[in-house]
Amino acid sequence: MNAYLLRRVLQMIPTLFGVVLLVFLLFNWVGGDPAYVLAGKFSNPRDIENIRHQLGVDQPLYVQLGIFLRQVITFDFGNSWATQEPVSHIFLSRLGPSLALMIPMLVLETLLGVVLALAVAHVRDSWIDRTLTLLTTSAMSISLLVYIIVGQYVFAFALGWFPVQGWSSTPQGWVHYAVLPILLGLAVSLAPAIRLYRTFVLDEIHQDYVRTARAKGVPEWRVMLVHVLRNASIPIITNVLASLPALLIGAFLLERFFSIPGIGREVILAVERSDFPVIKAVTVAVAVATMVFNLLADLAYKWVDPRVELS
Amino acid sequence: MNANPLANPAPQHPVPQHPAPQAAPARGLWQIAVRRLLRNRVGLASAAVVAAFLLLILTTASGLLARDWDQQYAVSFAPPTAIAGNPQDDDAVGQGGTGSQIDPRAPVDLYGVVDPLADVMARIHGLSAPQAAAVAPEPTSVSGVVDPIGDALARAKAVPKSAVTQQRAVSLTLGADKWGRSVALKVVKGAETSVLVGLAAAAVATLIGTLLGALAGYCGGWVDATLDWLYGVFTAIPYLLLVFAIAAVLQQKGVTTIVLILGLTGWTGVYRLIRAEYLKHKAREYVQAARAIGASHLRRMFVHILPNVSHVVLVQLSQQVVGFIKAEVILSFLGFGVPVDVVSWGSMLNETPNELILGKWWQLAAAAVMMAVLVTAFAMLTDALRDALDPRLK
Amino acid sequence: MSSIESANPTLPPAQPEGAAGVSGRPDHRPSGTDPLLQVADLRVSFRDEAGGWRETLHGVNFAVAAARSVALVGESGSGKSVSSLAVMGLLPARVSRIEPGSVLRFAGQDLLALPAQQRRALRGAQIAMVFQEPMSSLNPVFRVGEQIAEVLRLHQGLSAAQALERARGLLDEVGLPDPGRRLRAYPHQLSGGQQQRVMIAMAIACEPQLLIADEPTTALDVTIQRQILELLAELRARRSMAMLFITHDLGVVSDIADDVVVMRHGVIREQGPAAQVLGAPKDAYTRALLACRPPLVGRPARLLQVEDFMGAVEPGPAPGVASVIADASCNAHTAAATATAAAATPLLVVEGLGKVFSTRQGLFGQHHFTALQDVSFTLPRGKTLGVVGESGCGKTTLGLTLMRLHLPTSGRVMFDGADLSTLSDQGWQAMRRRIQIVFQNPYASLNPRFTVAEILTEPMLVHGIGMDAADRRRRAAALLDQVGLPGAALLRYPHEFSGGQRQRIAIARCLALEPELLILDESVSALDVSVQAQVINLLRDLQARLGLSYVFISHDLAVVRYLSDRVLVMQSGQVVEEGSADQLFDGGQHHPYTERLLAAIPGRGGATQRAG
Repeated sequence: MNAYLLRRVLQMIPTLFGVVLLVFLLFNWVGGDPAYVLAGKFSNPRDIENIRHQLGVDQPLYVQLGIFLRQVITFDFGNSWATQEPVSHIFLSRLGPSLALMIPMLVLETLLGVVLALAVAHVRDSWIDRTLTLLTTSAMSISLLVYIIVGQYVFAFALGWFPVQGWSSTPQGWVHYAVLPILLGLAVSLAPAIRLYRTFVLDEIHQDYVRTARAKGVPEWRVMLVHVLRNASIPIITNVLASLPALLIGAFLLERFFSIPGIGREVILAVERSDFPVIKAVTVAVAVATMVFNLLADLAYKWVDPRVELS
Repeated sequence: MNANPLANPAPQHPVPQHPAPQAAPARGLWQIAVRRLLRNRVGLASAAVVAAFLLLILTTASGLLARDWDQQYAVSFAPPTAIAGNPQDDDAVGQGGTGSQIDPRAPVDLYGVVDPLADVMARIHGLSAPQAAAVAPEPTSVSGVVDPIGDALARAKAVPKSAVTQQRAVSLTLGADKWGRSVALKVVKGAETSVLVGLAAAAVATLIGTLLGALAGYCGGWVDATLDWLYGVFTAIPYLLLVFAIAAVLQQKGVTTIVLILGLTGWTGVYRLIRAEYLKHKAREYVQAARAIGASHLRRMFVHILPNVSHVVLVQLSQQVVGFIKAEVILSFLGFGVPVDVVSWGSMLNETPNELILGKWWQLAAAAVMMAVLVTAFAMLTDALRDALDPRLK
Repeated sequence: MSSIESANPTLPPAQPEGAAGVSGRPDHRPSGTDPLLQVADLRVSFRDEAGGWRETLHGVNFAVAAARSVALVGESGSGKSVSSLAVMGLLPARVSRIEPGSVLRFAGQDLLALPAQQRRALRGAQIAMVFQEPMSSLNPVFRVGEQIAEVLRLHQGLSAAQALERARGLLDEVGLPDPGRRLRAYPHQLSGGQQQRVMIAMAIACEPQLLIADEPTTALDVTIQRQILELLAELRARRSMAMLFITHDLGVVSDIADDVVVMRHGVIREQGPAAQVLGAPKDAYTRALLACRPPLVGRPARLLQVEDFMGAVEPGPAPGVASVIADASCNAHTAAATATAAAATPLLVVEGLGKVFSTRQGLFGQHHFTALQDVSFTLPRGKTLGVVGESGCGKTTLGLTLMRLHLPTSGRVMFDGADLSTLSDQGWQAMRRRIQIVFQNPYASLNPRFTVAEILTEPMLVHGIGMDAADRRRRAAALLDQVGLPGAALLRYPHEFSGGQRQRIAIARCLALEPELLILDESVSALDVSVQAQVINLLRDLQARLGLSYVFISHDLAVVRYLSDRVLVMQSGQVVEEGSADQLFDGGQHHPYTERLLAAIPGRGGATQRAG
């Protein structure tokens, strides 16, 4: 077990290096000279030279890579080009609103998705199943933009049930501002979740052990909720864990539409303003989180599936 | 079967004279799949919808239709004909509507930004429009007079010069946007952008994913290790974040850029599936048998295994198209996608939140419905393809 | 699609037993002494791809009396498993249905009229079932103890602790050592035989009156198979429980059954007491099934086939009658080689062959697995070397190593005087023509996207055989003829053929290269016994005509004995015994492992007198 953990952590190093290399190539090589971006409208050659020196982009590429590696290791990406706010501060202060939005969304999506998927799989091939499949297909085909635009207009603007936008970090403020975004996010993500979990459940329903359970006289509800669900939970848990890193970047569009000061909105702003340090920091941080959660997913896999040997 | 060089048509004639042991003609797996697909009514219907869209795109791409989608055919926010009453009744209806709804300067200003021909036209307009706007509150002949035949006529007048004498409609089939452009033409032209981006990006991503997956799964060893590292790197960064990051550094926008962004980042899913398929098939006895008779590596990879995993590739391709259409819409909505002189469903949706507040819902409805129809059809076609190609069902 | 099916339209469903089975027909009218289970006019339909219903069980009648053991015997597609699932009420819903008029009575109750709730209460308590694949039939994420306890808690209302205690006793009863520890094991931590014992423990937990065992030993090695059969017989006697035993293997029937029901294509061909059905079968199909297995004494020139009894003609020339249209040059080539070199060098000499697989373990560690250790043998031209052993003994690795599909870690393989392991890739490519392999699974060994013509001409194309495409095409047709398939098969795809026909195509593909040595890796093991006999006859026929040498790898001692001149017995990667095929069965002194294998042959002793 410890040897496994150690090996997995060591295996992260080349992947992390790859991510750093990819981000570095993207911003320092493909992206061209950031000094022109930063200097903006009032550029004169002296200013640009000055900025180039400050950023270190007048150095050879390998020196720049070294600088970037040091930034990654110390998690100090300097200041935002747009606001001069320290990047680490931006990251930490925007995390809260993103999590306040995403965690309830993920929990509700998983619970509702699993329950509905079990129900649909239970009546598989019936007209209910076919209707629901058609409904989810159509629901998935509508752009999430449309859900948000229409939802915000109808429920906030026209009906006035919810505030149109805004955020507050108090609990009452959360109830006030977060409910509509969460409901809309759920409307978008529930259909694909049901479809995915339905296939997980159906994969199990056709296994031999289900036939054995029926041959034992196990009632149908117990077949579904004990025998099938326990096995289907293996891919479901893996899938949920794999979506956890997404918590860190929040919901880009929801945060943008509802002016929620989360990381997703910050990323969009940064892209609009060519605020490279912010994008770099978020990318590397999320990559690290993804790798950690992948490891957690494997450990969880071992926990729910006795067949898996960690070696 | 086409991939198989053994299928030389020349020697086939002597054999068919033999009586077949079974009455039915020989059917390959592809023929069976096609037959199964033809029996699937939902699949057929969705294939028809997708085909209609492709036909539509052909006509717009060749310039037969919607070439001048950015012409100002109508007054600002002209409503759809169906809800606008009958504009032919009375010219005054049109005039009244126009006068109250728009600031005549707004369309001219923005028109110049959007339309490549606008420079020319703005100069022509410039002779009369500013004075008209400044002096007279009632509409001038340039923008105010009703075109009784509406956008049907306007579409027929596809000659740029007609803009000079163009008369603006008070209503269009699907209404008009803020600048008086026909929503119907925009949504059709936008389909071209969105679908072409989806198809091209899916082709790039599937090609890369299939090639790398085949190499990794078949060769194993250090090739597999290297490609898996690459896969790990690309999947460590959430997809949209990676796309945003690339969009941030690439300053020039354009359809090619967005195709490359989506294609170069979207190969990982295909790679994982194809790699697994190659691993599985490599160990199959028919590939072992091919090795035993001395078939080369390339032959085993592409003549033996590839046709047997091609159904996975096809389903993936179809799935990717849907995914990339959705991604393009989001990117263009955020302004990271297609440039401003190209219309796409995403850039149309971008205009709609403000329109909604003014109660102008038709652009949103048009773009949303078109996209939903296409994506639903494509998704159901994908499902039908998957069922038809499923090798487990014989 | 199978040659037999297409060649032999079955008797009309209205009189399923035909002329032969009348005597054994059970009386299914209610009477004073009702049998425990009565199946009458059972008809089952399945939904086909077009959405229609196709009947696969055409009115089946049989009965199981209390405490009796009935064997339901048939080849694949006979409907034997469908019958048992119908009795259990486990037929897949929506795609299958039991036709009206069918009767299923159990202990006086009309099963088909019972509400679902009561039907479920019977399952696991009164009627229990054991399946073919123990690994997939056990729930992988629950401990063995929990799975056995579940059935006890469900039907007998025991508490968790009581149920576990009973489960321990049951594991003990089915002969699992250290039951206390096994209770906490997960299924994958047990061997196949142990898993099947767990399944049996689960089935007998509530002391059912009827146990249905659906091919319970087919997935197991022969020695394990023997143990499971003995366990079932013992449990049945001790608990005076009735058993419906479903199998494709007439060999095991004599060991386990009081009565036998023979099925084919959804109808019953014959039924009666085991001694009568096995000893004096009335039905032609039963006689054919009994005769087409290789006998354990004597060695007839060819095995009898179903067609010999049923009078149907298989498509293509029957082996032996076939005119040899095949390439004269092909025959001349090998025949000449055989004639001149037979006395000189043996074709294949293997010396001290070893194969070690290494897998990474931990951070730096390596795990070594010895698959082959010091294997040596000599194979003369035109002869057959049999290799027998149970799964994991290294016999398949041996075949793949001979083909250089694995590289040996030690020892050498001399083929016709040349050391294969030192050959360059080019030299090996040329050598490939002379050594070919036929795999076990006929459904996986042909590329499903190729036509038969493409399959057969590809080796010629790769090795530059034949002048042009037309010539190769002609040769391919000749090859098909050689293996007894019509030339029209050239344009067809593998999925249009039955398993036996596919194996013929695989053999024809090897013959395309005019090899001298064929490695047959379990090549007939996946086939139904009647088809197996046809392919075995074909192999013997080809050997006689083309002077081929065979390395015949199988777990089936009877088939190995029938085909081989010499036999290697392998265990754990080593050869434990080598001798002539007849010696092995002569009752002399053998290695203990060989003795175990011989003792495990189903029906040995009881069934030997029927052969010959």
